[in-house]
Amino acid sequence: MGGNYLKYYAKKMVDSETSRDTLDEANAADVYESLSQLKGSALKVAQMMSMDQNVLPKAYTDKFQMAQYNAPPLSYPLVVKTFKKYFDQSPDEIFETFSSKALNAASIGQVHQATLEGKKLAVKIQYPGVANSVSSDLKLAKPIAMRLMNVKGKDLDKYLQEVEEKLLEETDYSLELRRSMDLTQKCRDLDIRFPRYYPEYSSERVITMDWIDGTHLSEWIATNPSQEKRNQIGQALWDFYNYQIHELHMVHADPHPGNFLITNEGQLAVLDFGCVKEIPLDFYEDYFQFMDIELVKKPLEFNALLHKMEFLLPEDKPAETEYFTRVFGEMVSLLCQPFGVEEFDFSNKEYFAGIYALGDQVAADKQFRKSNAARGSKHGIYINRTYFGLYNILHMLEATVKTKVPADLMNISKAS
Amino acid sequence: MCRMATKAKTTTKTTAKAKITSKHIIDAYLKYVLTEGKQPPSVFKFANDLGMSEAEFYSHFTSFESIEKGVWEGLMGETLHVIEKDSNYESFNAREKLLSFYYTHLEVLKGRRSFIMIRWTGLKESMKTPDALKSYKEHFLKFAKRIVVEGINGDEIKERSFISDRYNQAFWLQLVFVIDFWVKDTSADFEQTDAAIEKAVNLSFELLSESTLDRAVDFVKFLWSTK
Repeated sequence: MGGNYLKYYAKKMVDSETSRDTLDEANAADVYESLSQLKGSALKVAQMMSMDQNVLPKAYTDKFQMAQYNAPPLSYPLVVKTFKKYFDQSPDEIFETFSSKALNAASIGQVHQATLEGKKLAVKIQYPGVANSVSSDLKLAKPIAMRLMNVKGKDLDKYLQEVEEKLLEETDYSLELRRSMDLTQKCRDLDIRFPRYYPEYSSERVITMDWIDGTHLSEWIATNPSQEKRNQIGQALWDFYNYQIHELHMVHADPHPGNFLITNEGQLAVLDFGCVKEIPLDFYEDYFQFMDIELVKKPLEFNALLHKMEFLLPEDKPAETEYFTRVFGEMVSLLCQPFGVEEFDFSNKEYFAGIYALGDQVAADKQFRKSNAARGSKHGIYINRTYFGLYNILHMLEATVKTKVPADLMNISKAS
Repeated sequence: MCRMATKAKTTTKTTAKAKITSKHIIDAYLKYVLTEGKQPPSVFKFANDLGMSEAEFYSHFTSFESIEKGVWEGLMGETLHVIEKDSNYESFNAREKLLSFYYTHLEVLKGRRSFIMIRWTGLKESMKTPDALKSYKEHFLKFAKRIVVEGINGDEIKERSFISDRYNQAFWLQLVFVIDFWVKDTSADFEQTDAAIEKAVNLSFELLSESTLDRAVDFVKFLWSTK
């Protein structure tokens, strides 16, 4: 699993055009065919399990994205019905103005603009029936995920369960509201702009928050901002994630460029807390021991940790143990490089090319493919996704970031 | 049964001269049908339990069947009344008006869901429109006709000779489909029905607008005439 993950992400960062080649060609045509029959959240699951849509050639992903967003916008009468159900009033009775057409589509809902007491608000409304379809869609996606990841069905279940849980959470807007308010409150001292949330106009299917004017991150990068500005935004992003992971043990697990804006004042704004991963303490303690770059040089301890994290399995043969210890050792020392230095330059193409090369080498390796056991704790899925997403954005930003995690933030008991 | 009768009598006593309206009769009838699982044994007994004479009953309804007809008619009437009262309604286009009708109608139907559940299968299976649904359907067809006319005027619906007069009949079939879906829907708060309505209405308007279908027909006509 680690291998597939690494490979696809690395590939994406370096060059998304040629990613088709990285898939086993013989398998590819089959997989695309099955994928093209999926819709909606099944597709999303397949993407999640394959870790990223860029596993697939661009032509395919374009088509799938269409399918995913093809849900026609909610009609205004249904928006009114939803409002009456939760607030006993229609939107135009509650707000001074309310756009009857949606201004943006979110993956499982749409965003309307409203004003109240002269303030601009964003009102996010969920499509009906999304929550109901998650579990059945997941069943559809399973065989495809098995293929993409080269993992036995039974082994896949623990990951699928984790994904299902997260997807269901994403459909619960009341939970999203509570988490958004909680996280933004706890992160208020960071150099980041968060919207204010309005619980009185929010429910299981509706979330009302401040409308933030600004430029989407990728558009902002296209305007060629100065290195200083890039570094500032990159740093804010890095600090935001560090703080959540090490201080709050709870992280916004969807670092996708679309979830970030640059405000007109040039500040980073975070928009969407639909996907939040709570990090169990024992997993945290194990996972972040890998950040100690000296660990790889202590074979016994490193080996013990790999076992604990389920990267090495009790039933592995000695040759497998040796092989995977070496492979994971290389991965860890490469991926944790930014943590070992004071400052890291994420524009470094060689670094990302190195990740890519390693991923490719692993994927092509017969031994790796032969072992079709699932490796790695289920909690890793969203944490890895978070870090890969973060690296990806920082690479897009070409930012240089002070990456050293302050010692007082890291509260790992070294004894364990 | 016995207790129910006594209860009915006491109510009569306290509200001695209160006029019994059609609504009272409908409510009492539905309560009987839903709790007893069958119609009351006779109009005489039913009227008596309600504290009215049989003759008085006939001034409202001619039979138990006509009460059921009245229930359906009332559901449609209430829906049309609610949407037309809504201040936004006039500003909607034809598609939105139809959607608005469905969402409102389902809210109204919800109040009588148990009754609809026990009657629906029987009603749906009859080949021609059952008596109970006659005026319900009549009112809907009139409403659908207005939607079609507005749709044609607003360029949402294409007028096609011979068949556009029958469009409202197609909407009737759609309504039957929606109610059927709703009766079978087990999702929380019938959310799946909301999704079904969106899709059904969007599809119907796409079919009724100037579409591939027209171009296909046009092309076939052309091929035919040049042969």
